[in-house]
Amino acid sequence: MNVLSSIERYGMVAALGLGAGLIAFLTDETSCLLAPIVLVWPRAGRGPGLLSVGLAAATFAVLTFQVGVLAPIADSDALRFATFLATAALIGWALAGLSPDSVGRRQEHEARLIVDSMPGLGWSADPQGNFRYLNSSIFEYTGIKCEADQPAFAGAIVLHPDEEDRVVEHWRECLSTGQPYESEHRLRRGDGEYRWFRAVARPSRDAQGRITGWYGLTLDIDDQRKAEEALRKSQSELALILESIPGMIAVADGDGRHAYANRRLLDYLDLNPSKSIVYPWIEAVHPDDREAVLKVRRYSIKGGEPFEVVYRRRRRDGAYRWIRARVEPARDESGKIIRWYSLLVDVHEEKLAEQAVRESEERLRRLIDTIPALVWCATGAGDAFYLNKRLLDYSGLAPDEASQARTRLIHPDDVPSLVDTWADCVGTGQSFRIIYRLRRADGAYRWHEGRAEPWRDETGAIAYWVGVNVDIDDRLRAEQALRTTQARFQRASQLAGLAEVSASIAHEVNQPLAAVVTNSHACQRWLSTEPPNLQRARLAADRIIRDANAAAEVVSRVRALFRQTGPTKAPMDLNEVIAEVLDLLVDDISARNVVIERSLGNGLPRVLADRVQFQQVLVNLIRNGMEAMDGLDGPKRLAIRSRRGEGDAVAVEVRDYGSGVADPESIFEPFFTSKTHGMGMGLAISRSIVEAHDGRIRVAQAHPTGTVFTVILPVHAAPTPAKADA
Amino acid sequence: MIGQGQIVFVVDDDPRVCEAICDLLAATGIEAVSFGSVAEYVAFTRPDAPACLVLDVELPDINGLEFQRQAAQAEHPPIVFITGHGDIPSSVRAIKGGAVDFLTKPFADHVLLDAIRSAVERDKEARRNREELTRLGARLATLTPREREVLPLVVSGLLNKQAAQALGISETTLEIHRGKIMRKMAVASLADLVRIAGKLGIEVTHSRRTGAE
Repeated sequence: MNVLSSIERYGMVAALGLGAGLIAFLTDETSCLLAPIVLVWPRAGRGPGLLSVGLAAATFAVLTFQVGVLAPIADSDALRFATFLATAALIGWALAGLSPDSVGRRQEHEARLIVDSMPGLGWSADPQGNFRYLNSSIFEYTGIKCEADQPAFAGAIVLHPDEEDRVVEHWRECLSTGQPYESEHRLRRGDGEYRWFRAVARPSRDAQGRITGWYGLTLDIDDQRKAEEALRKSQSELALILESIPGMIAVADGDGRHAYANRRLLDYLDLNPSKSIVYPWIEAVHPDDREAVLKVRRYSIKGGEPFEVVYRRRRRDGAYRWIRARVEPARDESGKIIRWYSLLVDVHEEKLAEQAVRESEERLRRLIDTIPALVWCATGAGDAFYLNKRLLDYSGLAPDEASQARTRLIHPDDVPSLVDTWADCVGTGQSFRIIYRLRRADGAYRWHEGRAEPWRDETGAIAYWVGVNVDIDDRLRAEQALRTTQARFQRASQLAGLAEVSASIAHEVNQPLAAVVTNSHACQRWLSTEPPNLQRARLAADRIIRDANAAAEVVSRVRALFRQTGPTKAPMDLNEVIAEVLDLLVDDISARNVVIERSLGNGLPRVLADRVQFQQVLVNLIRNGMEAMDGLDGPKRLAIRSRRGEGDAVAVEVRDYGSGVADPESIFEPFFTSKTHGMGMGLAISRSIVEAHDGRIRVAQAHPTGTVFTVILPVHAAPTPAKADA
Repeated sequence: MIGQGQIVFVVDDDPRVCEAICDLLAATGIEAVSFGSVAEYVAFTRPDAPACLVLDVELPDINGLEFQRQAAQAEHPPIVFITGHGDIPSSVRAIKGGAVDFLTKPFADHVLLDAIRSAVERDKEARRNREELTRLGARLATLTPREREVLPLVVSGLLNKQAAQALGISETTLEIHRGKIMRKMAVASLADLVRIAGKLGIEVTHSRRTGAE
């Protein structure tokens, strides 16, 4: 646009200069040479003025000194006149060109200045939309190297392909309607990067209102736009966050009036977002929780404090669910509260779970307190920190005195062993078990069995020790009592066993014995008659023999019975058995006023024997000995001695201080008895038993008085197989 | 000394004991019969002679003491118990039940013989009593009904006059009845009549004083 006018202008200046020089030559009037400066200077400035004067002078000089060329013109009046006319026309054209038509041109000039000085891409265009002028910023930006006057420059080539159509269309529309043009689009920079620009253009009109051109400014808004975009993005993200956060958000103004609720909250309460949520929200709160919620809220709003409240709120389906509401105030610079932000989280499941956990904990606690045992916990290092209620009640300790349990509850005598064992268990992680005395609240020490097991964490380290104490005091005492009873019972049954054996033997032997006695009397009578009835006497004597043999038969059956039963042999400490038997007979011994002299050998080897049978042997021998001294006036002594026998044997001696026996060997025969009571079976049975053990039993006259029975048992007695010789 | 015509029954489940006792009794001149059980003894028809029973307490079919209780209701010879192992309660029970003795085996011959002797004596006595009663009962049976009415009044010691009055008859008639009774009952005196009436269990229904009223 101004490209054209510049060419025009310099053409006019040149024309004026040439014309003035020509006229001066033709008129031969040199003053005409000054005319261009007068004409041009004010119109086109000093430079063009001087240029035109220079041209005029040059033209004059050329014409004057090189007349050869133009001589025909100077010589011919007609030519001179014609040249003059042409020159005048030329000057007139030039003057017309330079003449101010000029307001528009000045404006045009100023507009260019403005366009050039625009802080952006400035441009102007003709009414058809062709660029008339582009400022340098455009070329700098686009990097297009082209002449300022190149009319072919098309703005479209720097448009972003996505927007080209839209922008061009809009531009044409504005051109046709004359409405101001406004567009935001991307333009390609020299390095190929597109940046956002905002283009604004307005038409300029002449006095008749016709559009004479367009002036536009295209500003780089890329940074701004990016900032805006970022802002928008962050805003939408914020909104997204607000909507998608797994919580319900409500905002209220400084007075607590509702201002905003996120989608989740609205959905939850089934409220229409378009309506203002001035709803009687308190009605949605469970009646039981209303008072508490209102109280907290009032208190908080008044004090401006954040608060948290958990309550039940009705959901749209009508079900009450537990909600945790956290409310925080936001303040402005002056500290005035302008907003209350509430975050409501449905904690129903957690609450129920929490309740379940609490209930379960409560159940567990009650369980631990109810189980009929004293339960305690200690740290991994072994320090007690928990005692269950039963243990607290039992010991009279307060819950916070758990750590003093060891020092206050345990019997001093048991402390060392307990501390050792406990330290050992804590060190090694082995199960703890010990029996010790624990002090009850009333001060009585009672026997307890304490057990504890380690409770390990994931790493295997001992986190806790869990222990249980059981009061076994009663049980221990009962056991002790039972043991005593059992001992008594055993003694009774053993004595009864002997009595029973005796009774049964008595019954079996008594019948033939009775027959023997009666027959003997009959025999005597047959012999006493006058004359003696020898035949009948002999018959009676035969029966006597027969019946006495029958009695002996019974005894051998009994002995066979003992053999046949087959003693159950086990290694046995002779001294132990002696002690047992003496214990068994203690009543008998004291009743008979007998002093037992015990002399038991040390380190006797064990013998293989049937304990019960051997007890019977000893009972027999001791009873025998005591009975032998029944008639004695003086002190009654019975010596019992155990020792190693000859060879590999052990021996037990029972010595009485009675009158002794006349025929030591016969006393082992059945029915031999020196006593008014008894049947003389004891020693016979005893011998059977001892012989069944591969042992021997001997009797000897003691000096000065009494009898000594010796039982000798081989140490490595092989079990005798049962013999069926009944 | 036990004479002939007496018999001792022996019941013991042990044949050796039975045999021995029987032989002893034989040596003493006493007839004896033995049984292995009470059932056998009961089945045996006892001769009509003074007797006694030597009974073992422990028997296979019935306890001797229990049999004693049952036999007490019938006319049964006295019992001498023998036992393998006697205990005090059993012996007390036996004696209370009328046993002559309670002997623990083995026993001496004289002890058994003494017991048997006294038992047989007791049986003889009982048999005599039973015989007399039978004889007197037969005499009593010969009395007329009127005489039976008179008898209790007479033995009650009423005067003839009182007795006659009680029966609503004359004193003379009563005296006739009384004479017949004395003759029929073969008594010589009123005292004898009173004694016999006692044995026969005739009750004294009137006293002289009661009759006077």
